[in-house]
Amino acid sequence: MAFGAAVLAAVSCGSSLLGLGLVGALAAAAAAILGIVVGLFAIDRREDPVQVQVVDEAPPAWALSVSLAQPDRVETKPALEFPELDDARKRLRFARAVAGKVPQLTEDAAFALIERFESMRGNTSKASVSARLFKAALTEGAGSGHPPVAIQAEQTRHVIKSQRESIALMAEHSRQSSKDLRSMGKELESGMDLLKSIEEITERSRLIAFNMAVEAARIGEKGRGFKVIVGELRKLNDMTADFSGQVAELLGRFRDYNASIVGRLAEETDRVSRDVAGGMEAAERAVESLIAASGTADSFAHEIAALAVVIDSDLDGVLESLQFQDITRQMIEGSNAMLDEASADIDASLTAIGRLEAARRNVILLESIRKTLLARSKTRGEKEAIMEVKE
Amino acid sequence: MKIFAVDDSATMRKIVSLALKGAGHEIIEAEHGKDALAKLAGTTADCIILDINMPEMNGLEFLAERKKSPSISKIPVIVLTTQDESGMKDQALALGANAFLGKPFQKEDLLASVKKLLG
Ligand SMILES: [Mg+2]
Repeated sequence: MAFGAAVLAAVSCGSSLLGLGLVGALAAAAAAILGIVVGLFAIDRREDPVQVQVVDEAPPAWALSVSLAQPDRVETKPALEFPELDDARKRLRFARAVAGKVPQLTEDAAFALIERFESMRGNTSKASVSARLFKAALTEGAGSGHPPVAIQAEQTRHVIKSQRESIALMAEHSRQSSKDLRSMGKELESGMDLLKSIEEITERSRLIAFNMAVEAARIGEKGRGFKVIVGELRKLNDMTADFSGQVAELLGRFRDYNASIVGRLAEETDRVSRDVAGGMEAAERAVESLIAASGTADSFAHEIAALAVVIDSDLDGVLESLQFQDITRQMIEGSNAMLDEASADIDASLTAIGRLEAARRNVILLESIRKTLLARSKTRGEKEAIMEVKE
Repeated sequence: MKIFAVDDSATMRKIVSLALKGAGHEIIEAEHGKDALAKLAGTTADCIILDINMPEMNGLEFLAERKKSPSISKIPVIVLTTQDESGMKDQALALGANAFLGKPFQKEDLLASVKKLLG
C-alpha cells in the first residue's frame, strides 16, 4: 500500500522530489523480496531428515515429509505454488513498469514548467519594450521626428501662461476704455447742460431785443438807427438758437452712441475673456494630463522592470530545483538495478529450491533403503559395508 | 561564444541552455559523449559542459577521447554531475577537465565558471 501510494503521489504530482519516496518504496520492496528468499533457504539441517520443516513459520514456505513405512511416498509442495514468491514477482513487475514511466513524467512536467516561465518572461519583456517606447515618445520624441511630447507640453504650458497674461492685459485695457468712455459720456452730459444755459441766454437776449424794439418805436425817428441794431440782434438770436439746437441734437446722438459702445465693449470683453480662459483651461488640462502620463509611463516601466527581475529570479529557482529531476532519474535507474538483482535472486532461489528438493528426496530414499538393508543384514561386515555407502 | 551542453537528461540540457543563452551564448546540445564527438567533428566550440553519468559514452570516456584528439583537446571542459564523489572529481580532473560543478548547480556559478574559462 505504501509503495502504491508513493507511486501514485510521484505520478500525479510530477514532482521530482517525491521520486525519492518512490525509490525508498522500491528499496523496501526489494528488501522484502530478499527477506522471503533468505527465509526459504533457512532450513534447519539438524532436524531428522525424515521430517523437514521450514524454520520461517509465517507463513511456512514449503514442507517435506516422508513415512518410513512407505519410503517411496515423499510428499512435497511444489515451490512454484508459493504465493509470496508470485506476489513478489508481481510487485517487481509493477515497480519496474512504474519506475520506467516516472522519469518521463517528471521530465514532461519540468519542460511544461520551464515553458510557462519562458512565456511569462517573454510577455514581461514585450511589455517592458512597449513601456520604454511609450516613455521615449513622451520624453525623447524617439523615432517620430518631432520634439518629445513632454517638451512640447512644457512649451505649450509656457505659451498658455503668456497668453493668459496677454488676455488679462487685454481685459484690463478694455476695462480702462470703458471707464474712459463713461467719463466722456459724463462730459457730454455737462456739454448738454452748457447748451441749456446758452438757450437761456438766447431767450434773455431775445427779450432784451423785444424791449429795445418797443423803446425804439417810442422815440420815433430818433430810434431808427437803433431799430437796425435790434434787427441784427434778433437775427443773431435766431442763428444762436438754431445752432444750439443742432449742437444739442449732435451731442444727444453722440451720447447715445457712446452709451451703446460702452455696453457692447464690456459685454464683448467679458465673452472673449471667458471663451479664451475656458480654452486655456482645457489646453492646460491636456498639457497637465500629458505630463502626468509621462510620469505614469515612467513608473509603469519601472514596475515592469521589477516584475521582470522577480520572474527571472523565480525562473532561476525553478531551474535549480528542476535539476532534481535528473538526480531522481539516476536514483530510479539505481533502484531498477536493485530490482533486476532481486528478480535474479528469486529465479536463483526457485532453481535452488528445486535442486534441494530433489537432493532431500534422494537422501531420504537412501536412508530408508539403508535402514531396510541394515535390518536385513546378517553379518557385521555387511552392516559396515552398508554404512559406508554414500549419497 | 559557442558552448556544448552534453547530458543524457533533456531537462538538464534545457536548464544549462537557458542559463547560458541568457548570457548571450550559442548552445549546441549532445545526448552523450559519442553524440558530442560526432557534432564536434562538424563544428567548433569554445567550451563544453559535460555530464559524467551517460549511456553510450560517459563523461570520463569522452574526456579520454578528447585528450587523444588535437582538434578538441584545447576546448575547456566544465564537468557537471551528480556524482560528486571525490574519486570521480579527481578522475575527471586527471583526464583534463578544467572545472567541476555539482548538480544542482546555481546559474551564477555556471556563468562564473564559463566566464573564468573563456577569459
Ligand atoms: Mg546523466
